[in-house]
Amino acid sequence: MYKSSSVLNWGDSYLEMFPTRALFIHKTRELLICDIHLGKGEYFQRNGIPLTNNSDEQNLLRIKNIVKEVRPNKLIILGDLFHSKYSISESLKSKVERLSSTLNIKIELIVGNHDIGCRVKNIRFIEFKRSSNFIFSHEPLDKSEKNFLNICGHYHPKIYLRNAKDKLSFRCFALDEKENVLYLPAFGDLTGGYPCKNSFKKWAIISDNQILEI
Amino acid sequence: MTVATNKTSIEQIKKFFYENHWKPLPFQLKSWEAYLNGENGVIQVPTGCGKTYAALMGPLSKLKECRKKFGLYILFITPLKALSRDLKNSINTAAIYFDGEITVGIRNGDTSQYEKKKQILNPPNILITTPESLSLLLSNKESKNLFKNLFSIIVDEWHELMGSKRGNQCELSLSWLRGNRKDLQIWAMSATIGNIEEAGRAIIGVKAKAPTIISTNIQKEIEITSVLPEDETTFPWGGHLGLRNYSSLLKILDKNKSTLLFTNTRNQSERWYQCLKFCLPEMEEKIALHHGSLDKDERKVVEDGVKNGLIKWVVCTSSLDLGIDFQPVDQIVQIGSAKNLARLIQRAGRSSHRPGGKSNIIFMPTNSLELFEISAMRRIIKSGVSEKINLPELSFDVLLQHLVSLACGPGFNSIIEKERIKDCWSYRNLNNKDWDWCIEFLEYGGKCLKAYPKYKKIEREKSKDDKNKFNYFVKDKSLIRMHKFNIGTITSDKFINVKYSRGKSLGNLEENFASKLKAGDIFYFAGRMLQFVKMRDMTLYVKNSSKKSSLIPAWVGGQMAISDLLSDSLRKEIDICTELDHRGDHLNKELNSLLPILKKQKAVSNIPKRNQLLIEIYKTKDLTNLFVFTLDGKFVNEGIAFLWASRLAKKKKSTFSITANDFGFSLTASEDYDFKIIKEEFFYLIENKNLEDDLENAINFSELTKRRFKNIAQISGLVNHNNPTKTKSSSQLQISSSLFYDVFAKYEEDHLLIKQAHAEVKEYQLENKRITNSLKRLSNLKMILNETETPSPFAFPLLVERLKNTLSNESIEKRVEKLIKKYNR
Repeated sequence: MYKSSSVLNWGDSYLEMFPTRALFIHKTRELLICDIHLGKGEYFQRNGIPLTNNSDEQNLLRIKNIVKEVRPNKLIILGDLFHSKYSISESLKSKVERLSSTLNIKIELIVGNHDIGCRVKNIRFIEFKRSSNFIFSHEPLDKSEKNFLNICGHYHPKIYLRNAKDKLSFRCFALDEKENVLYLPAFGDLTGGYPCKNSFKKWAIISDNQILEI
Repeated sequence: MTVATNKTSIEQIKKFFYENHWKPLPFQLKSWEAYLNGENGVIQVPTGCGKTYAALMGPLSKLKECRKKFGLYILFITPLKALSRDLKNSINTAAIYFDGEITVGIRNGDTSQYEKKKQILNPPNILITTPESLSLLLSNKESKNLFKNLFSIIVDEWHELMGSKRGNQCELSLSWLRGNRKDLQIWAMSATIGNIEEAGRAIIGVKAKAPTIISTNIQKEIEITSVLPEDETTFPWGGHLGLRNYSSLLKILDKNKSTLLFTNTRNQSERWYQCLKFCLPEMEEKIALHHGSLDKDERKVVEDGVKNGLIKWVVCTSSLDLGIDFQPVDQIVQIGSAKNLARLIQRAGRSSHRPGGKSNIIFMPTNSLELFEISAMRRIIKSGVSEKINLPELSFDVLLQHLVSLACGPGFNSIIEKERIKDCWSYRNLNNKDWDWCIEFLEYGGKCLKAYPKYKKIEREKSKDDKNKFNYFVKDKSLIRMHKFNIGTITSDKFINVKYSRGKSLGNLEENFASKLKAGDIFYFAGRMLQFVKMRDMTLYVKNSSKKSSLIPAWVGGQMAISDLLSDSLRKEIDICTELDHRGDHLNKELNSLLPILKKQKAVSNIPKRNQLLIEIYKTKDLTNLFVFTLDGKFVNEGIAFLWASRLAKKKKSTFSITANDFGFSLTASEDYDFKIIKEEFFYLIENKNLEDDLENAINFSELTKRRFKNIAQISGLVNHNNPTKTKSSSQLQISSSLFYDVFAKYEEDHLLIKQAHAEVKEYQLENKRITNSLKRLSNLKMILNETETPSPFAFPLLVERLKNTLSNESIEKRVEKLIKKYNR
């Protein structure tokens, strides 16, 4: 029952969900991730809270690994690449700016609420985007459009499993079939999450290499 | 002072007493003499015997000699805000007699900003404050100056502070004040406790001369009346509200007498208030609600209402617990177990605030098993033994908070401060390595410097007097603001204000509850039905609603277990009940009313004798439950439960959920688990061999440490309470304590705060020593193992308990498989 990836069909497109918290659209060869929150550690440090920044390095490394594995044409980040405009150190900035050339791939960022005011080179900042029968945004759009799937981030969805004697929670992909919205799990390690509606269809990320439809 | 001046001082105090038609009691005389002799110590007398004047008169007569118009000379620390106003009145009465110009001020969470500023500029001669506010005062830039005249500190109700981290906070503040003025005299007042010497040490420090202990043999007589069920079949076995029996209570309560009804939780007080108002519509205007989460104006209305007699009954929590003088209170009701004797006696004491008076308390059990407790308490009171209250040791979270406070205010020198802190009783075992870690944590963020490039909380600054020395300060103004905002969070969770849309503030709720509400939801709070309008900037806006809802907020409070002393007596009580053949003639009133339940227990299973250990197995459709009645107080029972779960899981990989109460514990496993294994493994389960390792195992396979860490992260300033004035940016500073835990565990193995969480689990939950003793006791017992068709009366409360812990050594995959079985159904 555990898989190394799960599949969702939308129209004539074939979407693959990875336990590495990324979504791949085969038709357009676009790879989607969201909510990385780079610089979060340093933002906390500036405010007198000792949270390590080791996770930035880890998050960037994980991006590189996925890109190498999936070989997309384009990497699209659905918002909140950074945690705050106040906490982008020079070294972080240059690492992010080099990302596109290191991976030899175009990178686009749908600007999320945390990205406001952030400026980096070699990444295209856009408001939202249509591609084939998809709409990419950071927060879900107010109105759903027929036959269009709105893929977004922002919510950090998690699934909570419990019975009378045990409980566990996992990051998940969540599909709202009524509104045609697919929420991606937060990519960053230093992010928490929120429970999502019961009616949503969910794919739980059990570990780095296991995903499970629930 | 010389002997002669001491004598004149005492004569003068006596004169004040005589003029008020009081007679000084021997312990009061002793206290005055000891104070004037320059001694420090503890006054240990029951509530309502006049200990305030015992502690106060010495300092007052000294104050007369040296007082200037402005300047703080005497500090009065009380555990509760509610006490301050009454305290001020009684201090004033005495102060005016000595010197009409003496000024008395109050400083706590309810004091206005304007008033606080004024107090710093022109300090009152006597200041009444709480441990949290004192800690805040130390973080003031002017603190050295403010306390330079201070010669005396009185700590009120010290036994209430001692049992928690607030006691640590208080100790640390005292250590700094002692360092600031070497000749400071410190006295504490305490109820009767078993370890009074230790209580005294904690107040005056480890190195000082032994504390003077002043006690009296005044014995207050206490009469406990239990509300017994009229109809045995309606008596609830489980639950914690006790509402089902309200009619029995109403029959014995007098509507015209002033009455305090104490509940254990704020949620319970809201429910009882709602129930009483509903049942007694004619009393509507005369019943009020009082708990710590209500707005201070709301509380004041109630306090005043009781004083002028308009309000007759108050449903309250411990917010009204201590010496606040509502004169006269005629009836005291305790709803649910008071958990320890000291608290019950304290509350009973409110019914006669006069030396020598007899105090009465009506006990309203919330479940039948509590009647055992009250029966046990009665027997203990008769025997005259008292309980111990232990201070938590080496709480690094409180220490870190204290150090940052100092760095925000007067600054500190590492070498000097270390010595001061090691003078505190609960930090006497602090070693250099841990101290260095604390400083490093505050200065650099942690061991791995590269990981914290932007971090600086405390910074060095060369000392003005000595160029070779340096002091630590917090320089960033926003850090200072944030820190000050976080002090006072020793006990509480994150709070949201509740306000009417038009502006009146009602009180506060835990964020956890508020976050689950949607616009339009109705809930009951502050004695009103309210409708959620919107939530903005950490404020929940509401309007009145005529609709009804059963939704009532819960506040996470400290869990309590009955004391050791009480659990021992509890076992005796149950032993008495094993002989049921005599129609209960030999049983007292409480036990007698339990007869139907005891008979049922005997029919379904057994009642254990003192030399027996009762174990029951009960199967439901998809779960198997094991109930073990260790009768050892909630935390010890829980400890043994974790130990057994860990040992059983070693034999066969499994997931258990664990519940404990004061009677015993239950382990729950899936339906195919065969608990009969404990028959063969009994000696393995109770042996003391490998205890340490097995407990360690239990900690690792459960979430215990993570849960402990939550509170630690808050106190040490990792997780911030929301600052209402700065909502936008602070929302970007939110991260859950469990994420912190994971990050620390991953990148910094030796993190002291994680170690503390671990230590706290061992200290309070899986306490090695007490478990060892308990296992020793169990090994002498004969096991009775019953499989029951229905849950027995003893087992029922454990079965319905909702808060559960999980221990598992199965793989995540296996656990998910079991979890989704139900999910998909």
